[in-house]
Amino acid sequence: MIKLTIDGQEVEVAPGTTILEAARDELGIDIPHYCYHRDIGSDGNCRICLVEVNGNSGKLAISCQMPCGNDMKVETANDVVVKARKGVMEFLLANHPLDCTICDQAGECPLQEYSYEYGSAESRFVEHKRNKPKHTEFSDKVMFDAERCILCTRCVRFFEEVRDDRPLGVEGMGGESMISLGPNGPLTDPYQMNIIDICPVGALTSRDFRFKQRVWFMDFVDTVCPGCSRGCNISAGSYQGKLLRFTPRRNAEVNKSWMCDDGRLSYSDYNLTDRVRGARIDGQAAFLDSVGERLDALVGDGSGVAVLASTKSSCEDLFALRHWAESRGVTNFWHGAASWEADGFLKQADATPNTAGAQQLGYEPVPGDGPALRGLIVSGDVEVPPALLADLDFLVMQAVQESALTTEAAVIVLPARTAVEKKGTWVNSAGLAQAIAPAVDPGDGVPEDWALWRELSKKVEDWPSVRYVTAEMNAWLADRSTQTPLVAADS
Amino acid sequence: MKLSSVLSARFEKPDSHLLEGYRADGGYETFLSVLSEKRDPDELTALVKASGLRGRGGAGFSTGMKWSFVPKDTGKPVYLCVNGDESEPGTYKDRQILEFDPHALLEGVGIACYAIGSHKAYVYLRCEFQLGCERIQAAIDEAYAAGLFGKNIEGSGFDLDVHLTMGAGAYICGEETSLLNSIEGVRPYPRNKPPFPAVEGLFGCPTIVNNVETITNIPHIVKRGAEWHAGLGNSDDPGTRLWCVSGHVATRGVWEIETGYKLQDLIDGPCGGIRDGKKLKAVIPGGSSSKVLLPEEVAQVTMDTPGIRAFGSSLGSAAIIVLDEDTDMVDALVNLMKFYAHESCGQCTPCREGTPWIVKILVRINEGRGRLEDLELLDDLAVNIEGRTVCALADGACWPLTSILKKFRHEFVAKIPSAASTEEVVGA
Amino acid sequence: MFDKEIVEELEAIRSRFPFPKAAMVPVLRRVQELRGWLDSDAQAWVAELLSVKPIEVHEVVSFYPMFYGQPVGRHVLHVCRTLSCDSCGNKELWDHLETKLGVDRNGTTDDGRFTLKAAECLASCGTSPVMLINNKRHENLSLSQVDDLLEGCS
Repeated sequence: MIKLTIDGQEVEVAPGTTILEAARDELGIDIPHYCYHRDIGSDGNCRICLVEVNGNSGKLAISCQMPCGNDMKVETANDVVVKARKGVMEFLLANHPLDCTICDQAGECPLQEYSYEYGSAESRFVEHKRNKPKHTEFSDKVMFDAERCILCTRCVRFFEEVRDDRPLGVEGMGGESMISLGPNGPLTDPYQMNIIDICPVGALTSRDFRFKQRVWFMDFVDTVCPGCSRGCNISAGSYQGKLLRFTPRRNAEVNKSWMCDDGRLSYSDYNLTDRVRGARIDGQAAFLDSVGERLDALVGDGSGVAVLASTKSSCEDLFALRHWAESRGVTNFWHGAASWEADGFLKQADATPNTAGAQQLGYEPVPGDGPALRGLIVSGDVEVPPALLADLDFLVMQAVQESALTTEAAVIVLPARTAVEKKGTWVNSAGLAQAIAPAVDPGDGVPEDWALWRELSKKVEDWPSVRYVTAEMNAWLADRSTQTPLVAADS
Repeated sequence: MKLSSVLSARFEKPDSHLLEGYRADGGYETFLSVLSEKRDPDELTALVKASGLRGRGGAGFSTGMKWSFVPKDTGKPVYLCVNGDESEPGTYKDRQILEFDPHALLEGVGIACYAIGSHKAYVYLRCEFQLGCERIQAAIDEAYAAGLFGKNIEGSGFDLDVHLTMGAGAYICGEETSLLNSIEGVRPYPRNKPPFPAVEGLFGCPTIVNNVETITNIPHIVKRGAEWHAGLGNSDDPGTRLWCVSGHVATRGVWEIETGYKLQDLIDGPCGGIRDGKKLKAVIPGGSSSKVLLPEEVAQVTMDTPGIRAFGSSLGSAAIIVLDEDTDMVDALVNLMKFYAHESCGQCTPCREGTPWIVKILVRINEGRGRLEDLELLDDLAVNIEGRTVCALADGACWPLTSILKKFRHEFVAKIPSAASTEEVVGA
Repeated sequence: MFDKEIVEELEAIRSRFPFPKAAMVPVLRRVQELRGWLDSDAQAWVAELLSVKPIEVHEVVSFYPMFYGQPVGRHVLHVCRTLSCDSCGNKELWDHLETKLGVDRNGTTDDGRFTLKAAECLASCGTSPVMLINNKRHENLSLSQVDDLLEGCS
C-alpha cells in the first residue's frame, strides 16, 4: 500500500491509484476534470485537474494520471492550484460561444458548474472569438457544435475504448482542431448517444431532446430502464407528467455509465393516451368491491384458471397478484415474453426488465400447449397468445391501454400502470434486484398494480405501502429458498 | 574564443558525405573496435555520463544519465530514435551534419545502440530536409552494403538495423514524445510523463531519443575518452558545439566553438559585427525559445549553461538570433508568437487557447489598438501557461514573450494610445 | 492505383517498421509526391496498405502542414515567415511573390501553376532569402534569381 498526504490528510491507497482517484475515494474531494472519465480513462489534455505535488509549484501535475507515490505531499486547492485552475477555466471560456441561453446543456453543464467556482464574472478576452461550424449532424440522433467543443476527446475515446471503433476523429491542428466524422458517414453505432452524456459541454447534444425543455424545469427520478433484462440504471426526466428523456445513471456492476440508444429513446413508448381508467364489469364502471365479488364467483375453486402476467410488472405487483390468486386456488402462474435482437454489449434479447423476478416468484413461461382453460387473468403489458383465448368462459384484463380485448372480450377490466409508473423491484438477468421508482403519474383511476390486488385481498392494513409487500415477499421467498434476496423499495 | 573542429572537421571536404572519404579519415573504426573489443555497454554509458555531454536539441539533459534510465531485461526491444526534426527558429546546425557528414551521425548511432542495448534505430528527419534525407538514406545504404549495419556486424554477433523516417512539417515533432507518436503513425501529440520514454517509449518499448548533434559527439568521446570531453570549454557544461548565427550580422553562419566563450567575441569576430554599421539591439541566444538579452548583457555573457543562466536565459539549441537597432521589437514578438500559435498541436487547453489569444492581443497592440492593461494581461496569461501544459512548446512561447515585454516595455507602451477605453481600441 | 514497382517501394517502406501503421508518414509523403496531393481515394488506398481505417489517415493528413488534403498547384512554393528569415529578406521575398503571382497565403494561381504557402522555420536561418520549390531548397536568393526559378517551372 502507498501512504501519502493530500491536503494535509494522510491516506493509504493501492499501488497504481491516481491522485484524483485517491482524493475522490478516500477523502470525497472532487478535483475538477473534463477529459478524464471514470469509465473511459484520462487523456491528460484539459489540464484542469492540475495539483501541486511535493511543493513543485513551477510544474503542476495532472491528478488524473499521476500515480500516488509514497510520502507524496499533494495540494489540491492551495493558491497556486486554484490560480492554475482559474487559468484553465479562462482559456476554456476564451473562445467558447456565449450560447448558454440557447444551449441544451445549460443546467447540467460541467463547464457552467466549474465556472461558478473558477470562472470570472467578467471576461478578459476582448478579441473576436474563433468561429467554427455550429450544427453538424453527426447522425439523426446526435448534433455537433464545434464552437462549444473543448476538445477533451471523450467522444473519440468512448468509441475507441468502449466500442472498439473509430467513427470519430480529430482533424486539423492547433486552435483549428475539430472533432470530425472525417471520411466516415454518419454515426451508426447503437450506443452513439452516450457521447451526449459524457460531453462536458453542449458540443454534442441529443437531436431528440433538442430545444424541448430546460432541465431545471424538469423532474428527474432514479429508476431502471424498462427496455430489457439488463436493467441499466437510468434517470427518467419528465415535465408536467410527460416523459422527455431517459439518461443512464452510473452503476459499476450493471451498465457502468452507458445505455443503448434503443433503451434511451424508448421513453416515448410510455407517453400513452387511451388509458384504462377505473374498473369495469361487463363494460360498466364498477367499484372494486363488486369486482372482487364477481371475480371470486368466476374463479370459483381456481381450477382451470390461469394468471398470465407481464414481465414488466414489478416483483411486488407479481407477488400481490399471486397472493390473491393462490388464496382463490389458482395454480397456473405464467409470464409472457417479448424479445428483440441482443447487440453483444448491454442490450439483451429479453425485451422486458423482470423475467428473473417473475420466475423467482414462481411464474413460468406461458406454455405452448397448456391445460384447457376456462378462465384467464391477464395482468400488465403482455402479449396474449391467441390460443389461450379460445374456449374461455371468462377473461379478466388488467391493462394499460384499451384494446379489442378490453373493449370486447373481457368481462372484467382493471387499470394497470406502465413500467415507468411503478414503485417496487425488478430483478435483472444477472439476478440483481434493483429498485424502480415512478417517473410519472398516470392520473386518476390508475392505482399501483399491487395496490389493486391488495384491495381485492383485503390487506390494506397489512400493506400500507409497497415496502410492506416487499418484506412479506422476501419472507415468502426465503421460505422457498430462493438464491437471491430481494431489495426493499424506498418508501 | 576557440574555434574547434571536432564535429565540423569534414564539412568542407569534397564528397564528405560518402563512405569512402569517411573511412579514409578513420571513420567507423571506433564503432568496430567497440564491437570487436566487446566493450561493456554499461561502461560506455558511464563513460558518456562522465564526459559531461548534454543533449544538444535544446533541453540540455545529461546524455549518459538519459541512457542509464533504460531498464535492461524487460524482454522488450530497445529503440534509439535520432531527433533530426530541427525546427527551433534560428537553428540550422543539425542540417550541416546530415548534409556534410552523415556517416559521422551513423557511427554515433551504432555506438549508442550498442551501449543502450538497441538493435533498431530510426533516424527521424524533417521532410523539408530533402538533401539531408537523400544523404542519410544513401549513407545508410552504403553502411549496409559495407557490412557496417545489418546482422552479425563483422562477426561480432551484434545486429543493428537503421532506418530513415520523417516528419511532415510540424515543429512539435521535435518534442521527443511527439516524435514517437509521429513515428507510430498517429497524430503527433506529445505524451504526458510519466511514463518516460526510456521506460515506455516507441511502441511501448524502452526508447532513447537523442538529437543529431548529440549522437555525433559519441564516436569522439568513446575514442578520446571522458576526460578529454570534460576538459573542453566550460567545466560545468563541457563540450564543443555548433553555434548558428542568424539575423543582422554581417556574416551569418554556423561555427564550432567550445562552450564558455564570450558571445560578444563571436558577434564581433567571425560574424563581422552588426551589418551596415548598425548598432546591436537585442540577441535571442538559444533559439526563439529563450529569453532575450540586451546589449549590455550580451557584452558580458559567456556561452555555457551557468554563464547564461546568470543572465536569466538559456543556451537552448545554440541558435543565436541577432537583432539590430532598426528592429521593431513589437513586430519581432508578434512574428515569434505567431510561430508558436501556428505550431501548437492543439492537444491541451492553455497552449491551444492561450497562444492564439496572445497573438491577437499583440497584433492589436502592434496596430495601435492596445491598452495598458493588455501588458499585465499578457504577463498573467504567461503565468497561467508556463508549467501547466503537456509539453514545453508553451513554455518556449512564454520565454520570449515575457522577456521581450519586460526588457522592451517602452516600445509596447509607445504603441498604446493614451487614455483609450476598451470599446474605443478594440472596436466593433 | 499504382504500378507494381511503386507498390513494392511502398511495401518496402512499410517493412521498416514492426507495425504497418508506423509507415504512415513516409508512405503518405511518397504518395503525395506521385499524386500531387492526398485526395480521399489516395487516403483510402493508404489506409488499406497500412491496415488502418481511413479516418486514421485523415486525422494524420489534416494535422501536418506539409500534407495537402486539398488540391495544390503543379509547383508548391514554401517561404519561411519566421523571424530570422523575415527580418533578413524573406518579408520582401514574400511580398514579391504575392504580387507577382497574384495570390495570397495558401492561394493557387488561376492557371494551376503555383501554390504559395507561408512556412515556419525551415532551418535555413543563415541563408535567407530562402524558399522551397517542391521541397527543393533555394538559398541566398535575389529577387531576379527568384524570377528565373519561377520561369523554369512549367
